[in-house]
Amino acid sequence: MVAVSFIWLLALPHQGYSKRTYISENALLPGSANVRFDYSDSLAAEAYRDTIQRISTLSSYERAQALEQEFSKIGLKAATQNYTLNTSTDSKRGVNTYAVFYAPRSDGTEALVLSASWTSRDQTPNINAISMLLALGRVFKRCSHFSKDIIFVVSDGDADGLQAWLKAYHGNEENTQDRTEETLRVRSGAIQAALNLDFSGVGDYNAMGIFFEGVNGQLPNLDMINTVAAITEGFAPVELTLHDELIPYTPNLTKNYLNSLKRMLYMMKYQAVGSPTGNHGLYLKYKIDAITLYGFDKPGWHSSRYSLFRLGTLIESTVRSLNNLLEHLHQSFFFYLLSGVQRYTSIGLYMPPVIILGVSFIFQALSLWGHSSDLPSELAATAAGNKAAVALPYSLRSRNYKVASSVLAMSLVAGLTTFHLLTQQFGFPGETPLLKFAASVGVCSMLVFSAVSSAHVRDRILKSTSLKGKSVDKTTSLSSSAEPAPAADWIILKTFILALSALIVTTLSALNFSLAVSIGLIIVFPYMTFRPSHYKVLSLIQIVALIAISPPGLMFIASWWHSKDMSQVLAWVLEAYEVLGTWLLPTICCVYWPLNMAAMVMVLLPVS
Amino acid sequence: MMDEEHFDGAASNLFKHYNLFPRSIGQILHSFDVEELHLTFTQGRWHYGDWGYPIAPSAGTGVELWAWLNGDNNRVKANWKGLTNTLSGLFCASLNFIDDTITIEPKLSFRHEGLYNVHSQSSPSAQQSFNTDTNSTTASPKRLRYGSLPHENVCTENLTPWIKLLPCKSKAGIASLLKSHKLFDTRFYSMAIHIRPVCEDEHCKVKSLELVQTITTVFDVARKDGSFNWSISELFERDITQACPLATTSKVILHLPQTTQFAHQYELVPFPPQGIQTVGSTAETRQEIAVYDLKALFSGTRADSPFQLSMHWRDSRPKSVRAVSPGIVAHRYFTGYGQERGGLAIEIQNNNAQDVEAIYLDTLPWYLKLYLHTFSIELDGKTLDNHRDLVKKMFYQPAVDRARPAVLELALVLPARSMVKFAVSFDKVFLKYTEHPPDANRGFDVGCAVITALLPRERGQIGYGALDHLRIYQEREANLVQSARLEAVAEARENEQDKIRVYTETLLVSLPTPDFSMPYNVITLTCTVIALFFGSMFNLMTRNFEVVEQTKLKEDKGKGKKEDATK
Repeated sequence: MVAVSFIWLLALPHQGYSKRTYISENALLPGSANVRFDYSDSLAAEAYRDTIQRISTLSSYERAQALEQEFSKIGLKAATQNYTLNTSTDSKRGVNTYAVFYAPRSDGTEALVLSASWTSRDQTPNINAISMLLALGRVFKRCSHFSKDIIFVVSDGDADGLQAWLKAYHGNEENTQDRTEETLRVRSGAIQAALNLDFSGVGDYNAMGIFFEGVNGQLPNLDMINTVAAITEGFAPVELTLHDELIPYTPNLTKNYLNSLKRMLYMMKYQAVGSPTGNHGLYLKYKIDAITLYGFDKPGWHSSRYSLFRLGTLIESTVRSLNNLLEHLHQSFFFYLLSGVQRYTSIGLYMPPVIILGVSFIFQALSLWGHSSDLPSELAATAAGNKAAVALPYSLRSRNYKVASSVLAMSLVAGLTTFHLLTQQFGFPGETPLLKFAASVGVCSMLVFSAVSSAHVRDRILKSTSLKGKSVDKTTSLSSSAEPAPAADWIILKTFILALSALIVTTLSALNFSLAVSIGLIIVFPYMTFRPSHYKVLSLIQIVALIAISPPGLMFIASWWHSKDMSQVLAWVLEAYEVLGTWLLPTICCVYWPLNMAAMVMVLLPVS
Repeated sequence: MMDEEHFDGAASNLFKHYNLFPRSIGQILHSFDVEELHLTFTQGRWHYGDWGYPIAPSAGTGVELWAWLNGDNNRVKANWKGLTNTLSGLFCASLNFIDDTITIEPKLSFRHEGLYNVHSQSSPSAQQSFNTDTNSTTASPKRLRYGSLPHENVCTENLTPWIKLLPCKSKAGIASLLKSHKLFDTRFYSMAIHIRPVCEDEHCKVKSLELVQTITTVFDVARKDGSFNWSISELFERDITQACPLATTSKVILHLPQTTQFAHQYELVPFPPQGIQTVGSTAETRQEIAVYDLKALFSGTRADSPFQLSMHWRDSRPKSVRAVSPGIVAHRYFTGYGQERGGLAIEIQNNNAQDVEAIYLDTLPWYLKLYLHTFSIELDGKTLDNHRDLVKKMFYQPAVDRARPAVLELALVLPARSMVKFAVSFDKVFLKYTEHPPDANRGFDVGCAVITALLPRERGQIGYGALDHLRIYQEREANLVQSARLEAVAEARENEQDKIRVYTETLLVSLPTPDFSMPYNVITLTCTVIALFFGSMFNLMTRNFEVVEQTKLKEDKGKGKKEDATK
């Protein structure tokens, strides 16, 4: 079953398995509107580029003020928003600028958002994107055919700025010691969709990437991507790709498959980690479909370069399409895997392999459960072909849950403790996440050690008492001692671990498919095959493997892979949890780690 | 720029004659026993913060209808239904959708505007206007009905019946400018009819009906090329070629840009024959207007040339135009996200230097379950524990599912220069699947809230009061309707207050929406499964299987042959 699931998963990116995307929402009509962005607007955008370049070096407050003035000059209602955010690792403060274009004669119940942050993905000033916003504001101001308001947001900081703005827009602004988000003074209606622009620098680009994975692997409606893809195909020809990887097309089937696999793995990686690949990810939580368009330059790539002019027409055309929407985007897929801009695999096709994986856990757990009740003597009897001894349909052998359940309960408690250790501020001097992490690793190893040693001690005591009991009972008849010894503790524990794993993998697969797949693939072999052994070397190998797939081990591997400091990786995970509210840290601490600990205990339990 | 045209002669004795008064309206009022009727079609939002108050009363986006009807509750109920249906036919609008589930009866807002009010109240003060029953002098009971359709689009088909009510249609006078092609290419468009009884003598013994028709539009002159120059023929693509011969007065009144310094920034062509006039007593409230009497113009020497009017700015951008500072500005928005619950927040800003009394009226559809215990008030960002300081009276009518909306009406005292914020939470109802509209995923529109406030005249000048100001300016002749109210206004007492209505934004709420493609899938799949599974299982379980032996089989065959033979 595991093999089937593996092969099935690998088949997902195959050309024959995925389908070509199509515009599902008929109202979108991509590329059918006449675009008003003309040459003079592109000149205006270039003029704005100089202005933005000048003010981008100023402080947060000053540049926000300057930008607010620029928006006001166009005739839009503009305002700024201050925010501060104190996380356990960092203190952030910034100023967002936003402006609203009120659609003439519209009731203002619906709005679209065009956003850009001051810093781009590649940590350079996002100059072209912001000047694009200003130029588009100028274009929209001339038009009277918009049915939705358009909000321009230029957010400060990384994701924290837009997060603060979105919170305040939805009336959830906080005013506590850790967070302050200023109430918005200018508002519009319910936001239907959002486009986030990421065009750093002042030059031209030869490719454009779409980033779409949001917080906790949420995805925007596929029609968002389809619309941009349709417009770049005909109306404003731009080399479009997923993320920032350009892979040349080959007619070679194998190569083609490998490319698709690569793209899908990229997507699954971003989705599994759960932190958004751009500011668009923050909108998804508020049921706003959003994507990030990222302009980049790949040296040596054959496609023609595009400047602000083509970009302007592209974005205006996209906004016009979204403006056509009569309802919230709902027609197309919300759950999909992309192996190319125009190839998708829908939920119906990608779910079975993960479910099979989950079911394989369940099956092994069930068979172990059955084994734990099988009487060795009866088994031996049936094996010998002794027909007189009919196997009972039920078993007299009792199962001992004490060790298994206490180990699981303890490891869950330990997981919760590590979570609290990591996320709470204690205020002692020299408090760093790394130190707290070390403490939580200590807690966990303590747990494993104490559980294993107490289990061994208990085992010895039990053995000695049963030996004593046997010596005492020798006087009484042997038949009365028919009650057999209970099954080994490790079998019960392994059953529990496997059942829990199945639960986690299948539940997660509906919430965050990629995370479920990655967790499932990591744990499937160790948890299924590992068992206590008489051979010290085998036990050692098993323990090393389990440590490697334990959170500290994975973190070590991740930091080594990205050649970064451990503390950096930890700070990143913590920030994702505290700022964006990703579930990666809670999932790992409260679900993944306890199971890992329990598995370690299981491996070290007495064989009996 | 706003235009307004009056046919004061249209105010006639109650249904005596229809020489100017439109018969269609008169008959409707007569058959449904309507005392007062106000119907407003609006497309777009009025930006109070940028534009001040509209000169002619205009409502929130959509259609708003409110009327005072004579008779007891049952009769009024039947009459209201008839009225909405008839008006729906007359104005080609979906007014018939104003049914019981959205009709309300405000207790504090939307008082009478007819002139008998003035007589029943010797000195109209703020306190008295809060009284729920203002016509103690009139014998017959009257009831108020209010309904609005926030998502009703206003277009040419509504304009045409509106024009038909005019005595000269769109053939002559200002109404000849009404070209729908240009009118609906503006930032805001509102048209209304207001019918109210007025008095013809001082003691109000003879009453007549007054019909006021207004159109308010906001052109964005600088939209095309950034220039602020305009002319009537450019804006409307039409000209006024003659004054309406049936009208007593026909005037174009231009409210000029109020610049604090840099006079003579613009040029008016032609310059008004009587020069630029001013209204307003103090320097702060002085407003400049230009008046063009079309009757006089077309009776003079240039009778055959169309009326042209244009304004040219010397600079590309007007300088030091006096900023609009509306006394009360309100915003309303939804808080929270998700389809389970949400909240409503209302921000009311009082820019006046003194406390202002205001009435807040909010109608919420029944599918939003309001929790009044979550009602909270913030004053300038601080939560108030004691609501009594601000909320003097509160009327709350809980919603009844599928029968009536929730109504929240508050009599407020807004402190000077303050920002008051209300918040209340609600749960969203999971509707029956047949109750969703065809565009289920769009959401439901929630109509605007209305804030009625009494503002001191100085502030409210570019508001409702302006209409009266302009009327006074028209120096009515003696044979026109003389009303006690107009005389009182003409006195321009210092403590005179204007009643203004501020409409908040319409909102869109998304309720839990089922996937409407799902029922089909589920129904077809389950039916197939049941048909296949149940059918075959039932078949298998009720059948008795036997092993048929070879000899028996042969015998059976033989029997069968015999039977065939006998047949």
